Parts: sequence; structure tokens; C-alpha cells
Amino acid sequence: MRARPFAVMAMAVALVATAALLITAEQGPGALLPATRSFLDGSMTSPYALGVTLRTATPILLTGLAASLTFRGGLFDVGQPGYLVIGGLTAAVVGSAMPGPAPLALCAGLLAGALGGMAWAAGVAWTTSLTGAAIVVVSLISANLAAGVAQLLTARVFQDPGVSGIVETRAVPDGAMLPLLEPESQLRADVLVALVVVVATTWWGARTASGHRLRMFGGNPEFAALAGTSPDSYRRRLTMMGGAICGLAGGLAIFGEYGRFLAGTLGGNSSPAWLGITMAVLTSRFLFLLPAAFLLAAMETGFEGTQRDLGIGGSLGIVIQALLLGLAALSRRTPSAASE
Amino acid sequence: MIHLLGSTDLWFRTLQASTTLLFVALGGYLALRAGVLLLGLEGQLLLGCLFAVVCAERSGDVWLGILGGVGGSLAVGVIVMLLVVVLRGNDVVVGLAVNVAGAGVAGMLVQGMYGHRGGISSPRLRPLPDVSIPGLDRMPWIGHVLSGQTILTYAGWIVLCLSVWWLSATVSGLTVRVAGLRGGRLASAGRSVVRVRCLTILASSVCVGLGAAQLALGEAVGFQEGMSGGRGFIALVLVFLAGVRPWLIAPLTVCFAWFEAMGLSAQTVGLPAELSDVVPYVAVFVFLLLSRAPGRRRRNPLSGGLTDPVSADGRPQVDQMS
Repeated sequence: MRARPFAVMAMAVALVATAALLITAEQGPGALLPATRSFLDGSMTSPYALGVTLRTATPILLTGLAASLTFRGGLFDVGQPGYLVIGGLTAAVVGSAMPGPAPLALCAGLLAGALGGMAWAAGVAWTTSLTGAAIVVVSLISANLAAGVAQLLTARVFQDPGVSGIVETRAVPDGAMLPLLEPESQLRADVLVALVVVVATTWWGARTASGHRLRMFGGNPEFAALAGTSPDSYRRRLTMMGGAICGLAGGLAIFGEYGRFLAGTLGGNSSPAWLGITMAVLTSRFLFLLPAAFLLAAMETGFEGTQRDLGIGGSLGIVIQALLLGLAALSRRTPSAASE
Repeated sequence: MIHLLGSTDLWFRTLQASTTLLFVALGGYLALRAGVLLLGLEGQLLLGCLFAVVCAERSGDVWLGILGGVGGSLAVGVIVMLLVVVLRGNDVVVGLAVNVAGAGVAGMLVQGMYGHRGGISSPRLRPLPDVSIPGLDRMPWIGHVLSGQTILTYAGWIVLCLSVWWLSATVSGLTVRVAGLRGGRLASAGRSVVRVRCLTILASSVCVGLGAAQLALGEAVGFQEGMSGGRGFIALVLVFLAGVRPWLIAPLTVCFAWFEAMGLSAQTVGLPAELSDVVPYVAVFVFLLLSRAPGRRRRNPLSGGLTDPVSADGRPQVDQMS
């Protein structure tokens, strides 16, 4: 554990150096200072920018939590992009179709999102159990399938009839959106909900018997089997738990930002869930996910800022993320496909 | 619908589409038998397509395009090789990184080289020439399906047959299989597991590059964002389904290529166009579920035994000593 702060610092230095190198390569060393300024402007110096960053961080945080949870249990489930997408679609559909007062639509929508994510995860879990295939492959495929299914359902079944040209569902009622926390930053309560979930899960993992059982199971499933927990059933429940959290994240994205499900968002190659998985690979402590998600989101919004102001850096985020994953691959604690 | 099922056009496109899947699956299979799980096939395929198109467009020569595709795929393969085999990194995370980064890097390169996002298409891009097999092309139905494919299609089937034979009947093939089963035994026989795996990954990358060339220069002439379309993932599932029987790759790829071709033709029979993105993955799940009858798989939590390199839980059994 002593090497950890050094490793983190070394990684941070490497990433900053890479970013600086790439910026210099494109526009010369004179661009470094303005690039830094627009990076900070885009990500945190104004309340609005901070709000955008925090909103961006929320799905990353929750999907990262879900992934981290399953990794701790020894499962390399990477289907989070799929659970997120299905959860978002379900939340939007239920939220917009729910009769009655707007707060009911909000609660029903969020619950539906969590259940939708859980249901999709259940599919993954049962397929893995029944076929004995590696969950890493099954979940990856399911993530792709989810994106396609969401596109299909939105375009053919749930399309908003009042809108043409954009594939999206009906909007949820205005009053159903999560309450605004701070008007200048457009910050809504979705960030708060995510924070609560993370803190609650951290407490659960550290202070309850079932939380400890998770770690025990991840360390040695055979021992857990001897102690009476059926490994298959436990793994299924764990996968479904992760799916529920991601589904909730999808619902929060709908009721906290978009107001409707837009086909192509939440899932696919640019899904925030990939960043969440990256985080979960890099750290196993739930609380570390909080600053990590913020930093990853800041990278995204910051580089969007430099792209807007200086025309560089749009793809820098991808390169940095790839580097992060590459470094993570060399870290000792990642669950290996061969050692599950 | 019946007319569609019997049309030579559908089956021609099936055979055409199966080439890419075949090459990519073969690449993944070889690596898996050697003990390396290549999850990054999707990203590798995409980058191979990009390099194939760029080389073909810049040089005007489609054969250089094929070389470019192979070269691009090899570049990715070398990185994977260094991270996973030499530095003993985690193969799954590296694979995820290649997939996620592949799309981003491709976008970046397109932007950098052509100044715009999206795709590359140019009149300078010549598609892979169709090869007409004399005699066969005059046969009534089968002639239209089998003849007129690109050279890579015929090469792919030949390479697959050779690889199946090589894996089972040669010493080097046996070495690769043992590397995947029990790396430690290889070391005690005086051979280097690292070297075997490196060479296998390089061979896999060549295969993936050829598949990329077929996709980018034979099927769709040009590059588009996301053109790999999940083929890397589907190929992975095919690899697992094939298990210890590499010849299964042949019928499996034809089957999935058929779903792909059917999905694209869905519009002509009135089915929604979005189905083409959904049907192949659903087919994958159905296949997975059908191929493992529930009773067959008996998981003994206390057994640590190795049965075959692609065991019942689909993971390569990497020996501790490797």
C-alpha cells in the first residue's frame, strides 16, 4: 500500500506531460498557457462549468460504483453501458407515460430505470450461469445489444410523435425533473442522489456483514461455497445489483439532465460507463471513485473547452483514457480473466 | 420473403461478409489457443480498416491497401503483445483499452489527415477486384454465389483449412496449444512461452488485418466511423463457441454472416432497419444458450482441474508458471 501515492503521482505526471506534449505538437509551446486556461474555464472556474462537470461525473461515478462492486466480488462484468442505456430508456418511457402528479412520475421513473437495468443484468447473469461462458464476453455483447435494442425501441415504439428527425422518446413532465439545487450552475439533485448512493455503499461495504461477505467471496469463491453461499446464485445477485445501480444512473440522467431518452446517448462507444469501468479498474476503494469521477469528467469538459477555444484537444481525452487503461492493465490488482 | 431466402444476392453477400468474420475469428482463435484473450479485436479491426483505406487512397493501389491494413493491425498487435505478454498486464483491460481507444484514435487520425470527421471515401479508392473462377461462374445458382468474390475470400478459406491442419498436425501447432494449456510445461521443454505467444499474436494480427482489408476495400469501399460494427465481439463469441474444434469457425461465420446479410435485407421485406444492429447479437445469445445444454455443465467449485484450453467457463487456463 505504501507504493500507492507514488504510483498515483507518477500516473498524474505522465498524463499531464502527455497532454502538454500533444498540445505543443499541434500548436507550439505558446499554446500551453491559453490551453490550460480554457481547460479550467471549461471544467471548473465558473459555476456553470462546474455544474456541467458534476453532471457529467454522475453517470461515470455510478457506473464506476456498479463495476467496482462486481469487481470486488470477483466478477469481471463490463456490461454497464448496456444497463445504463436500458435503465435510461425505461425511466424515460415510464416517466413520460405515468399518469398523476409529476413527483409520482419522477419516483416511478427512477424506480423503473433501476428495475430496467436490473432486468437486463439478470439476462446477462442467467446467460452466464446457464452457458458457463465468461461473463466478460457475455456482458460486452449484451452492452452492444442493448444499444441496438434501445435504438430500435425508441425509433419504432417509443418515438415522440411530435418530433421528427430526431430519434427520441416523449419528454417527461416538467415538474418531474429533479429539483434544481443551484440555479446558476443548473445543478440538479441527481448529483446528490449519486453521492448518497456512493456513501451508503461504502458504509455497507465496510461496516456490514454482507459487505464483508462480498470481499470474501471475491477473494475466494470456493471457500464461500463451502461456507454455504452458492457461488452461482451470489454472482447472479451481484450482477443484478450492479445493473440496478447503472439503471438508476440512467434514470438520473433522464430526470437530471435530458428530460427524455435520446437514441445514441448513454450507450455506445462514447458511453460514460466506459470511463466508469476504467475507474473501477484503477481503484477498488469506493470513496476514491468520488474524486476520480470528478477528474475524469473534468478532463472531458476541460478538453471540450480547449476544443471550443483553441481547436485542439477533442480527442486528447480519448488518448488519455487509453493511457489510463493501459497503465491500469499493468496494475497488480485488476481481476484477470484467468484468475476469476 | 421466400424469394429473398433463395436469392443468389443474399448468399453472395453472406459469403462476402463471412470473410471478415472468418479472418478475425481465426486471429482470435489462434491467440486464445496460445493462452491470450484478445478482447480488443473490435478496435484492432477498426484501425486495420482505417490504415487499409489510407494506404489505398494515398497510393492509389489497392494491394498496398491490403498491406496497410495488415500493418495497422500489426501495430495494434505489437502494443497488445508488449502489454499483455511481455509486461504481463491484464489481457481484458488491455482489450477494453484497445476497443475504447481504437474509435477515438481513428477519429483523431481521420481529423488530422483529412481535416474532417466522419469517413473517408474517394474516387482514388479502388475496390478489391472480383475474381471470376472459370467454369464455376457459368454454373446456374452456385456459380453466382461462389464466383466473383474477392481474392481475400478464397484466401480466407484456404488459410482456415491450413490453420486447422497446422494446429492439430504440426509440432509448432502443438507448441502453441501447449502454451495455452500449460505454459509451465513448455518452459521445462526448453521453449519460451513468451516467444510463442508473441509470435501467435503477430500471426493473429495479420489475420485481423486481412479481415480489415476485406471489410474496408472489398465490402464497403472507404472508411466510416464505427464500421467494424461489432464484428470483433461476434468473432470472439465464435471463438468461444468453436472451443477445441477450430473447423467450427467455418460454419459459424457463414451462419452469422447470413444473419448480417439478412438484417441488411430486412428493409426490403418491410422489417425495421434498426433490426440489422440487433439481429446478429440476438443470434449470438441464442447460439450461446443452445450450444451449452444446461445439464452438461457441472461446475464443481472445488475442482481446479483443466480440461481443455478453452474450458467450460470460457477462459484460457493460463498457467501460473507462464
